[in-house]
Amino acid sequence: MKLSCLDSGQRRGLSAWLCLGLLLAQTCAAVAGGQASAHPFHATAAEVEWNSETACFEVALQLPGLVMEEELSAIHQRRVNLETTTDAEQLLQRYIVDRFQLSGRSFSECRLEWVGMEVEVKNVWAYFELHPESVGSLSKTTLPGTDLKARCELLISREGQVNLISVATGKARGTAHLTPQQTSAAIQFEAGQAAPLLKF
Amino acid sequence: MRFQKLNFGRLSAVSRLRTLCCVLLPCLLLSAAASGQAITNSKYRQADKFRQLEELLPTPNDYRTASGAPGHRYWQQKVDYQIDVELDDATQRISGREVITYTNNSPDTLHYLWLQLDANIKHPQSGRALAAPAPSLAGGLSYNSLDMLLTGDQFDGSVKVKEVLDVASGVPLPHVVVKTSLRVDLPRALKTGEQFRFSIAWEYAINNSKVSPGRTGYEYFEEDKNYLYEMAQWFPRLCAYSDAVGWQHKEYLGSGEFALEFGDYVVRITVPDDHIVASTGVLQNPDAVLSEVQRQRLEQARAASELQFIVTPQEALENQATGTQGKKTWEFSAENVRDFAFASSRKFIWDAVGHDVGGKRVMCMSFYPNEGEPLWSLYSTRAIVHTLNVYSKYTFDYPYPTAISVNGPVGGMEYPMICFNGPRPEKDGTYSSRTKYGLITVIIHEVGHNYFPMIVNSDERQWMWMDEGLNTFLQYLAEVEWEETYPARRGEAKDIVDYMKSTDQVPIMVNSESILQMGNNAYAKPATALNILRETVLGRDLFDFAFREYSRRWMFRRPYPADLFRTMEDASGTDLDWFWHGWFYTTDHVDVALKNVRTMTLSDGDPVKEADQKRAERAAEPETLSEARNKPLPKLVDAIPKLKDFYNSFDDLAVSEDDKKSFEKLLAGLSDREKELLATKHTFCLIELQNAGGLVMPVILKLTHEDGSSTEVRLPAELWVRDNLAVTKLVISEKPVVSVELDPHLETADTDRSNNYFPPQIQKSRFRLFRDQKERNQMQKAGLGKKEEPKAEPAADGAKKP
Repeated sequence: MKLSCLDSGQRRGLSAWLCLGLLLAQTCAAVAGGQASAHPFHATAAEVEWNSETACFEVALQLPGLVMEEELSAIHQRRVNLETTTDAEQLLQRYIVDRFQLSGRSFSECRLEWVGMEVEVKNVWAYFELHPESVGSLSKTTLPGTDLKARCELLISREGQVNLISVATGKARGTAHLTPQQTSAAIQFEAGQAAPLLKF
Repeated sequence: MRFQKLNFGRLSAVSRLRTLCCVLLPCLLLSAAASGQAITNSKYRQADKFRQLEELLPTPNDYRTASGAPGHRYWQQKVDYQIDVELDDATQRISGREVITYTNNSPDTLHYLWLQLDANIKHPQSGRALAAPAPSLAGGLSYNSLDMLLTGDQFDGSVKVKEVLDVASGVPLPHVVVKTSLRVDLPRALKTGEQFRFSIAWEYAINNSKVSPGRTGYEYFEEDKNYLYEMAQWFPRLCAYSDAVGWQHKEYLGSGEFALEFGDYVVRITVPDDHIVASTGVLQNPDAVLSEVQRQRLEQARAASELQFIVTPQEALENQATGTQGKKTWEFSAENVRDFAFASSRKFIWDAVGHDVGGKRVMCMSFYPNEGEPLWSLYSTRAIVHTLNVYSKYTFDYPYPTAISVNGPVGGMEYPMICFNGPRPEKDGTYSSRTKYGLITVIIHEVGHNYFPMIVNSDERQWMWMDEGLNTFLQYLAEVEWEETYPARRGEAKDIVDYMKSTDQVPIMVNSESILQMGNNAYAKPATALNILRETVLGRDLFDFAFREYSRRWMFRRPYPADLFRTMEDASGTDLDWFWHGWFYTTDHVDVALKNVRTMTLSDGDPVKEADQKRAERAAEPETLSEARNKPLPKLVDAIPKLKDFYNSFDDLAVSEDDKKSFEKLLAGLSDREKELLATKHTFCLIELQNAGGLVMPVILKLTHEDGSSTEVRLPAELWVRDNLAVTKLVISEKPVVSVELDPHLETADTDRSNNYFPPQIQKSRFRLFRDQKERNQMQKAGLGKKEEPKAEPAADGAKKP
């Protein structure tokens, strides 16, 4: 079920939107997929590294395997086993494409190039490249990495979900800590580190 | 005595011992000046990582000693309950009446009592619901998510308190509901040593876990139209009252679990008469609620070495196919427990086995619907037995008579003697390895909670890590004893690295509701810290002794963080303030860097040897670009030989007779011991370390020698005591050193291994390792790899096979 954004002219729709927003604020604690636990929490961790030679971000994304199987099964209304379902890799790829993005001052999004996946007992690892899609005249320029912004909507229907994105650009390291309530944020680089440069 | 500096295979300049003194002396003076500094010290460039914790920890007293043990005046309240409760399967409501006997063992006079009404969290206007930020709606909502949102807005599962009475007089007691708490005003002051009995009658609607999940609730099975109930936090329970915080009545917001008192329980649970009830405590009336066959099987299971079915899968299927109008009352009693939970359903299979722990027979039992098969009968009860064995080894013998695991809608939650666990196989009975290990892992964890916090009764509402962290640590120890390649998620130092190097963190020492990343902060980080303390800082024997001491000191008592910190130091005989400070009070991470390594050998001063060495060094120096290009140029002195004089043939490294005589004279003046020292062949290795991460830790070095052998050097964290930013360590080796590696066993959670090598090594990211491997495989698949010549085998006809 999709919640659509409404045009400003759609007054009735707008009031319905606001009402729903109020409900959400009061009840989001109840939103969780699957079974409840003592302390429901799930986490993904993305290691993102800027490759200046290929001018793209290289991403190794760690996801909880069992939870991802539950998530993909719920979305596609059929049982998805990451090891045995024939199109499991495509399903995972499609899931990530829609939910993981980086943007910067001169690029609004990145094109995702899939590299592959590894399935372990505990985790599934997704490997892909993010190629900044240049916009306007700022293409092929040097960009301050501190303007990097991450958007991550992985497993956000699950209470306590945390998506951790660690970015390394040269010697600078930064992190974004995203939750279902905050699905996008600037990458916060460690204090005292010079603004890293991304060269295109 | 001289040291010759070796730069890995290339001889270079000679240093003298006094150089070392010149370097070290200012450091010593600086550090001496630094000692005794105040909290902030503008005259030293670094914080004191070894600052003693006594300024942060509460002042020891007669209740809690400076050694971390309960003091001679330690006290805790006692609360006993007699409860009659009925589960209405038709309306999914629960109602009950309880008689509470409160014993005031504190030195204080009490005028009111506080109780927890946890079910009030299920009110649409609860603090948790109102304070929760909005979820992201990006990507839309599933029907189930929307159902949950609307249910959360409409479902009222809060407790209806019907009456509160003074048992002695029958007079109603004034009471006030404050969010998730209930205050009962006492008719007279309750002094030290006095008891007060009162009763409460209550009821509430049980939440449907599918749309209103939590630690308790029911599951409805559409196919057979049956219910499975897991009932927890279901009755008004006394808040803890302690010497450390007084009444612990912080609002129940969902993360901080419970702070409760020990007591004895008698609970009579009325349910449909075809239900099977699993509960905290021991069944008191088996004759009234079990068939003769079930009673016989239960007795057989008690003595058996392999698990037995009390209710078989087939019997459970038959039972769930028929309904009933009758009721039965199951009576349980439990002694010295802090809480009481139960589960009830006509769908339950029931298996059990008796198991000896410390000479006491414990009934290990599992209750699950057929939907849990075949996974549950294979692993659940065996995981309980394994947990009791391993946890008892590291803490104390499991003291309760039963240990139960129940499958239902709650993914994983713990109560005394009973826990709820969620994983199930697919409908066709198959399951992935993730489901299998997910089930074993959660059972170990939740059964393990019997030790922390059900028996070592920490305050969960204040300090989540005290039970989750310690339990996760022991869970790791149990997992690695399950099988050699068990996929343990938390405990190994290398598994915490990503979290440790991330930003947006809070320290472990933070209130349960303020934790940013629960799994990493309250579970994984303390568990890993304890594992590092065990493996790297103290060693297994010392750690295990101290941890067992903490467990036994605080068994059936209520510890706070200082009691753990102090006991671990007291029993290990080790100052660990730096460790608690770094791991528990800060968000520093470990990143030690090898900045440089210089190796030196001893020169005996023989002028002939020194000259030869200098010649070798000069010869080894590379020719510069200009030198190479200048070489073919015609030289003036070659054209006019008379320009050459003494200095053109002078050998500045030539050894004179005087030099030789001086050396012989020097040797003649040395004692035998001095000659012996001069002849040493040791390599002196100066290793420069930088603390880039901030967290001080022991330093483990692997020195590789010319012959390929290696030596390990383990240096304590106190290496950093005077300068926690940079330090140079002298390591004396019998063999020449060709390379050095930091943290070779990945035991310190060092977050950046690219600076752990000398000479430096390029570390590939996980992404590049994967891509390299994949590309290599693709090339191999394309036939581009080198091919071994096939070994020709003679064919029968004598020709060679291709």
